[in-house]
Amino acid sequence: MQFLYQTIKEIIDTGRVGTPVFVRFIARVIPSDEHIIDTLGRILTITGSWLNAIPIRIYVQHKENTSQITASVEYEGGQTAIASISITTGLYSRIDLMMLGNKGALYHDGEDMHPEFSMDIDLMVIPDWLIEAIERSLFIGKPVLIQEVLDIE
Amino acid sequence: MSGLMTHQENYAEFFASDPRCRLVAVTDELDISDRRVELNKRFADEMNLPYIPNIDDALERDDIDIVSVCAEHERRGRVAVKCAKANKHIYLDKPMACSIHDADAVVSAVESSGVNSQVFSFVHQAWVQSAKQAIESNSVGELLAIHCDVMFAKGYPSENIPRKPREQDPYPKRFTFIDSKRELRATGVYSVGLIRWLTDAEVRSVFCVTENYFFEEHLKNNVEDFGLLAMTLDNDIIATVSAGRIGYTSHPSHGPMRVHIVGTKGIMLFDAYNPRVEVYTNEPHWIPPQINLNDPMGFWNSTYKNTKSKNTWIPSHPKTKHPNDVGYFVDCIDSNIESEVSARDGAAQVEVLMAGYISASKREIIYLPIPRI
Repeated sequence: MQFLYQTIKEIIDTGRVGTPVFVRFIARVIPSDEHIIDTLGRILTITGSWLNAIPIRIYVQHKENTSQITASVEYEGGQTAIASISITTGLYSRIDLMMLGNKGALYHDGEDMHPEFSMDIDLMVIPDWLIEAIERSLFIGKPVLIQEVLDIE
Repeated sequence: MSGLMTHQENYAEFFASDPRCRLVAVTDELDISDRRVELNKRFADEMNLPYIPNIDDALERDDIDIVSVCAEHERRGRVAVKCAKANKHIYLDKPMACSIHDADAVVSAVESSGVNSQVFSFVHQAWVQSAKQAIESNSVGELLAIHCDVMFAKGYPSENIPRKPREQDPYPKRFTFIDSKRELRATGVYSVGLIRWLTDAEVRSVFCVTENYFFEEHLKNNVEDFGLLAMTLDNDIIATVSAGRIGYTSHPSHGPMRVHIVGTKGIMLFDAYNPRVEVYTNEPHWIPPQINLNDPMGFWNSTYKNTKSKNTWIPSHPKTKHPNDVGYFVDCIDSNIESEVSARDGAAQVEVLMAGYISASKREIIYLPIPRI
């Protein structure tokens, strides 16, 4: 994910697509030691970095006893993101993403990734409050205000 | 029913191309704007049809079997009711009504009259048919989630849209302007329709966000140019939608149109442009058409008649049984069977979208069905 993350970040930084406003991130990942909630936290940290915005509300959907999870996120500037992860057996992970800017768009179609592909990004830390917000939304089955999670902390 | 600068520009062509149909007349309500009368008359002239100014007169004629209803969003519900009560089969532009009350009234009129009805949708397009086949053949296993993106790459985005969360009116009354539409409704309806049809499941809860990202026209009229829906369907199937208008230069073709299907066996992607052939030549690069102030968002074919279409991506799908949505509707009438996207389905789409506005306003989940007052 390191190179894809960087490539997109560099394109955003050129200003070609304008201000990023929406990300649709769909990932099929092969099983690993990482829990699906942590993988979702990692992806939302990545989308937040691209959008250069702090989330204010998150709604996470998950069907019990399945390896699929979906999050819809609103950010402080009105930006939005939808991230969906499925853990499936297979040899390769696959990332399908679309990022809309206010004067252009980026598309990365879901080709199979390199066998050594990992979701890790160097030096990127997943905030604890983000994981807590994901878990809380899952627990109550409703959208969660990030500020409420921070207040509880 | 209604002419230029409505989707009748497309639907009339579909009906005209079906050998079982003959176009009879263009009509509308009597009490409409001078501009609408002029657009209707011009359309009638272009199609070599008479214009009947009062729809009541048209509905009395027994040589009319089908009414293609393309009145503006705000009045199409009552028009559809009138046509169904006159025992005419109705082909309905999407979304078919502006309120749950109007949508229920259309369903009631259709079902009590026993006429056929159909709301325009993408369900007969090859990529959607392939998705349906994949679900029915159990290719993805038990269905867990479905994610649908339909957006139109039209309009001229502005970089001057302020970045802040949008306040949504929970019960909007006006949906269309010359220069903008509520895009959650106008575009999101395709995805909601596809998801219901593909899954055979009803939407049980809706979480929605509406935003202004791209266009000063939408901002000025306080209507969203982008919307996001996160829904739960029967059997706890998760569904998400992103919908909107994103600007001419934001996509190599007409805009993203795709559905991801997630099941216990894996994920499959179905895309309106995949498989495709990509063509690169020494022809000049495509540039957006010069803005037409009568239709700055490029809603209608008639206002951009002589402009060149994007032609780099050429989809390569198998031919489907029905080259357009109308052919299937006429089959349903001939066979006296209900359309798979009937007025009842159209009403369900309207309910999801109206729940979306309430959700976006309250920033909370709305559960369906919405109680009728």
